[in-house]
Amino acid sequence: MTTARRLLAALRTPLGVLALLACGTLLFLTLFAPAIWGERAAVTDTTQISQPPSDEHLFGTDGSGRDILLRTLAATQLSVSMALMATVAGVLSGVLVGLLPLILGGRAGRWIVAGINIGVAFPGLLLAIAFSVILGQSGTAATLAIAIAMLPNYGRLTHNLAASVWGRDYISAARVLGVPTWQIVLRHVLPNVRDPLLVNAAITAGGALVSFAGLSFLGLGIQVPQYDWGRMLNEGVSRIFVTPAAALVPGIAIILAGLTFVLLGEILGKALTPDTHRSLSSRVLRRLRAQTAENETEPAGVPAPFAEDSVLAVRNLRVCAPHGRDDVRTLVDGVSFDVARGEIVGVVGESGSGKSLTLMSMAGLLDPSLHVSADAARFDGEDLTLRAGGHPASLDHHFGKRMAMVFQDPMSSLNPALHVGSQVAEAGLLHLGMNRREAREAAIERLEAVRIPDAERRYGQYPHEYSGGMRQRAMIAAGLMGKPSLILADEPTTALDVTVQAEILTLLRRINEEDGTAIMFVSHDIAVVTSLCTRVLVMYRGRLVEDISSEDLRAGRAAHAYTRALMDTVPTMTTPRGEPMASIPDEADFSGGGDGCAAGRAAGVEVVRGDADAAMRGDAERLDGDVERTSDPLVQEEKR
Amino acid sequence: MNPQLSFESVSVIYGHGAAAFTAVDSVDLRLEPGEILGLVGESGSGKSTLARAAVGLTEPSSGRILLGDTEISRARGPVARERRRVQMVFQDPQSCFDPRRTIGQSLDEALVAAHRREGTSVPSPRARRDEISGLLDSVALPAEYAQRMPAQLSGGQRQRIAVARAIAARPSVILADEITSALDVSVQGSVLNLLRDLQQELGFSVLFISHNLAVVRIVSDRVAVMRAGRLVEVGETLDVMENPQHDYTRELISAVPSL
Repeated sequence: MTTARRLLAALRTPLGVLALLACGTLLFLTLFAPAIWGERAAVTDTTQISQPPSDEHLFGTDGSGRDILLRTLAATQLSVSMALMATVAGVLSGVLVGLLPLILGGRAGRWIVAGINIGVAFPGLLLAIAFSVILGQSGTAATLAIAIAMLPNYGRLTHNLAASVWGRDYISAARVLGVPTWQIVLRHVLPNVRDPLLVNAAITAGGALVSFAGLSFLGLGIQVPQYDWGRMLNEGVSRIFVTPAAALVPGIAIILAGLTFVLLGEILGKALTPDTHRSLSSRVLRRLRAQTAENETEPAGVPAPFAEDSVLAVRNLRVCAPHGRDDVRTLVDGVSFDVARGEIVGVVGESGSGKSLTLMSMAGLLDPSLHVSADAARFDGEDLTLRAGGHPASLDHHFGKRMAMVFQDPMSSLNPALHVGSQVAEAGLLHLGMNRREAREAAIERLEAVRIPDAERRYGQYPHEYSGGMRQRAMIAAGLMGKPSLILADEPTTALDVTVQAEILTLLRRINEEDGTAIMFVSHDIAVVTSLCTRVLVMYRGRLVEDISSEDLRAGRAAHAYTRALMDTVPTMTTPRGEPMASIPDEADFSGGGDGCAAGRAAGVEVVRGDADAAMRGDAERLDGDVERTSDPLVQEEKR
Repeated sequence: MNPQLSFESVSVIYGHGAAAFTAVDSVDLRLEPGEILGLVGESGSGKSTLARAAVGLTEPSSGRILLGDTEISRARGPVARERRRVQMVFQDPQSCFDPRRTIGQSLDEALVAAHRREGTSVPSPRARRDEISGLLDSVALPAEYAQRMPAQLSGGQRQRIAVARAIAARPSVILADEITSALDVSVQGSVLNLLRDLQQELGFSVLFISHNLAVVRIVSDRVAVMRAGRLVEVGETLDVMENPQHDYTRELISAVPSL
């Protein structure tokens, strides 16, 4: 969704309507209030001093007989405009100072960062008061003082954001091209850090309003005969027991105006950050359920009987993602498979083919916005409740005992703040009823089993003290705490070096041989899959196009054109060197190729194929309605 | 004739004192004009750091990097301009283009920088648009792609455009840092074929960094093997593959999964 569309969506919520109304009112008062009520607000009436609320004066009058409400309204202009000016000055100078270290680099840059850090150490309001005293008692001085007080925070925020962008490859590419640094900063850094800065600026403006009123209240800001809300508060507070409204009304105005800026920040934040979670609308859900029910009544929909010895069996698995407001796109379309006890099954396919989604739906680990259904699913003799409410039901009670999971990135699948050993032992504590000592002993034993050297000492180390391969071994060790009958592995070697990959593959093979554990191994690398697995499932655009033994695959007996094309693209140590390498072109389409076993396309819901990997990442931006945004070339081709 | 790129006992050390980490340890390596030299090794072996030092993204702690006879390490001013003849293509197709700029704008930036470096006047926007179409054509993509945003392209297409951006700078040397390791195997070939074709046509040399020995074997004329910051073996590709001298090279070769 584009920023504009997100903004509209955010404004349609009750909070959005409220923000719009509040901002509109504040803007109107700021621009026109003095012109409309200014003169009447300035009228002093010595016969009406400190009057209580009456028909003539809604909130009464102050110590000089002036109408409190009119004065409060008229004071909006000064209060808000000064706060906005302070915010603009503070944010701009903060951004400038925050970017300078990148432009200057080297020692000068480090000094500026040090200066910012010292500035951040002082409380903002204290800085504002100090500078206000130094600069003199006037509105301009108070504005400047608040801007100066804001500078360190903004400098720090900008610097942090910019430094993270600075590490991206497109910045490196521009530097290697010799683009001048200031151009890189203006062209590449600033636009990419803009959004969080804007959201923060809106919220900061609320803070500036309160600070400014505070300074005026202390007698440092606006001076008589001018008045803002802080000044009014100052004059009213001494008589608060006589005419409470004189202090309360400007006080309430400050609170309301401050809240308006916070609301604005909230709406900006919603408009500028891509939403990550969207669920299917109830209409679409109903349609999907009806369709599933219809499938069940059809004779063709009767699931094939499960094999006796299968540890995992699934019939007609479908995963759908929301697409626009009223449509879904099918990411996994009618996939059926069995994993026999003690078997190693590989799943291959390109990114976006739905292979990881298939695995993750078995584990109940899909994004909640996705809709999962299956005619039947069975794990270890037990029915899986995939269909409960149309959402994946968790398999929690299997994890740690009968099912284990290994993820791609061993760094992010272990908690960096906890000892590796205690994370391995956790399964024993949670699921196996062990006490702390037993769990520890079992964990050390499992760490030894996956060949972690010096396991007893390594138990107490943190993930960063492990190498990538060792972290992956530790993850496997954690899965082995129970006696799993199935290990689900999602690209477990993709992030590893080839030599380490070979070790992990050997380890998985050994676990399979010694304990008879079945493994479902997802990878984009068909060479890795065939070297490890006995059987290979090939997925293409959400469908299972081939279910073939590794032996047949290696012997070139693949039936589906896509499988053969995929095999041809794998470079090996015997591929001829002089010739162009094989690849699958952008416009290739294998949908009709071969005698694939994918189930028929379901009717009723408009089906659009999507990028399953984007769905995995919860990447709503790319799952969204706009076809052109999908990065999968095959997807784009199909839609053109 | 393009000049050669030579590393003369280059070391890169990060940090100071006890925390110092030697990423590259006195490496001597010569990239001959017009050749493709494969550089293999595990992650953390220093192969990317070596490349980053050559383009000025990292400064060598000692040693020199030369392009022809000109030292380009630690270069400032006009000499730094010479360093722009060494270009780099990065690993991650997700982050190699500014997500807020069109492909055309990104390529235009490279063209303008190239003209500045060569001291020629920057051509008109219209002429540059033609040049951008030519660049896209050379990586087998239609000219309309100039209007697209990076998020609208597949990883393979983005890597091809990343090659086009490097070409736009009229380089003598291209450092290709794991340019296909984030891509599907099925599109890897299209990117590598393209790089090889352009290399034949334009005559630049390529330092082809990869952890995939099978790919390096197909693409490279010679292979260099790095481990823990040191160069352990350099030789003709087939010699190294068939008759590896170093234990680590043997281990790498045996770890390649076969079909």
